[in-house]
Amino acid sequence: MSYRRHSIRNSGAPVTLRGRHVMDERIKPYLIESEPYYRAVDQEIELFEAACAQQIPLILKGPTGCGKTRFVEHMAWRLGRPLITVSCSEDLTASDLVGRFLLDTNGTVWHDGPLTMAVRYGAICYLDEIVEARADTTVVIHPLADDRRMLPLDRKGEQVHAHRDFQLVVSYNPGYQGSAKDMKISTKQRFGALDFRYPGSEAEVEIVIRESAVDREYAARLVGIANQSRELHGRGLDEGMSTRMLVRAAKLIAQGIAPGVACGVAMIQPITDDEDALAALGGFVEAHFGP
Amino acid sequence: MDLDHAAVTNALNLYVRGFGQHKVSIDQFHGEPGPDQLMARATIACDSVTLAGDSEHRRLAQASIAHAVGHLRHSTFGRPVEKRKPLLVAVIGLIEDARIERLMIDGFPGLRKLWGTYHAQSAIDHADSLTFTALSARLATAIHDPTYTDGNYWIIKGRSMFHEACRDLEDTERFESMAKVLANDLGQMRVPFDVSSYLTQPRYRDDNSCLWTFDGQATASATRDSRADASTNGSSLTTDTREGLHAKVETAPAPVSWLYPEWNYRSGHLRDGWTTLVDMPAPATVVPPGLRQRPETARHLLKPR
Repeated sequence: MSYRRHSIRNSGAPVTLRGRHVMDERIKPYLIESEPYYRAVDQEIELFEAACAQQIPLILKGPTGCGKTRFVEHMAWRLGRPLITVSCSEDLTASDLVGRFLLDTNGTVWHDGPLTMAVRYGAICYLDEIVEARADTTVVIHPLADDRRMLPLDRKGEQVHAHRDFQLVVSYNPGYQGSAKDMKISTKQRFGALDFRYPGSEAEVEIVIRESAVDREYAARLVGIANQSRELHGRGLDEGMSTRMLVRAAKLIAQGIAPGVACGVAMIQPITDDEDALAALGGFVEAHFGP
Repeated sequence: MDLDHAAVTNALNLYVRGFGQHKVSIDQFHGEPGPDQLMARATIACDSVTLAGDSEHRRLAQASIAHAVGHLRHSTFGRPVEKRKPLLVAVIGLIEDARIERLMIDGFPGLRKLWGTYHAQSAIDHADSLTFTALSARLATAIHDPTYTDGNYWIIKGRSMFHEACRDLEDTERFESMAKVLANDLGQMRVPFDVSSYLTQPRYRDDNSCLWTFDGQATASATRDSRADASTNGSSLTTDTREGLHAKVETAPAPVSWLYPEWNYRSGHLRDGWTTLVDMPAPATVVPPGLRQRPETARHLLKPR
């Protein structure tokens, strides 16, 4: 289990968030300092803001690399809320999320886990790829995701009522994980859901240009290759090329690498080991950049 | 990179799928083209592309498929040939190839270079000839490659006309009008055209048979017309005989056309509606009056000398 702090604000003074309240010092390191670029493709920003205002937890569904994590970072910055991200895995335990007693020089001391910290001090808690965690682990979020909005810390004998700025967000990729790895229906029904797709071609071109500084022609060709690869979803590829892969290829091109080579490194070789699929993907690159 | 047939087929089926053609399958012709040039070029149907036998090189196969996708996206299939002569049909196909490739290059700019490799070789191979194949190959190159130079007047004219028509690539009538002018020029130039030996150029292009069809009803009409012509041209027939024959023609059932599938054993393809059978009464046997009256004379005429 790992969880991330985003870029840190170094100001020692209490932070007033748009005149609402004073933020606890312990959560301030999780504030996002500069605006993460995010290009809206639908009503997702408006819907996220409304869900936060109504304290409705959210599921972000969508293929890998389509911008779910970037969207959460952008929304945390936009709302001025700290963001605590937990990358879920099958080794993640409930204690990893809520906290545990640890020994230090003063004896046994309780340490809040990332979830408890977000609940106690008011942050967005983002459980990335939640279906990778065991189902019994994720049951711990149930009382937080319904009207109770509280987190029982059984070992500590405490019930933490969620801060009004606490927001629970989870993500997963429905197409990637098998049915064996799915969220419990009792968990799903506690959430609202936003369905993410790869952006349309024009929007994706804009994203690639903005993220890599390549010119429009190169960006359009990279998006064209990605669109062709996405036609192979389920017939040669588990997933098409993600926007993240395009941005990385574009960055290599901007660095002076030949487009065909950059596409091979960032878009083709990472996505499959199947010789036939590799040959087809190589053909798509040649259809856009030439042999 | 040469690949074995199975790998080629699988990889190329993925390749065509990448162009959004999910229902199109790719097959590879195994064997040598026949003396009639059958399967010397790829053939296209609505749901399949059969590559020519020499398309085992991956790039050539992909060039053929990308061209076929152009037809599948932008061409009208199965237009009746009607009274178009073979030379005109070939020139229309040449111009249509160039038109759909221009449309494909708009979306897939790398195809210009991919196809350009084969155009360059084709222009070299046909540099010193004035046959229809050579002229059409060089016109195809001249249209594809703006840096290509050719002093032949017909090629300069064709390139200029195509460039002009490209203002609206969807205006197919304009491209066909252009093809008629170019085909007429070839006729004026007395350029011979042998349909049985003609191959589209460059070699990644298909045989353009997908563009045309022979209309079954038209075939039946032609049969009926020729029979009527035979009856009316029989000037030695008596009036009664002619009238009797006309009566038989008028009362005979109308010809009915039947379309049958045809199995092409070389390409391994079953083509629906490929063969037309016209069901009609046998023509009436007309015996000249002289033979009926003097059979011995007729026998005399038939004796070997």
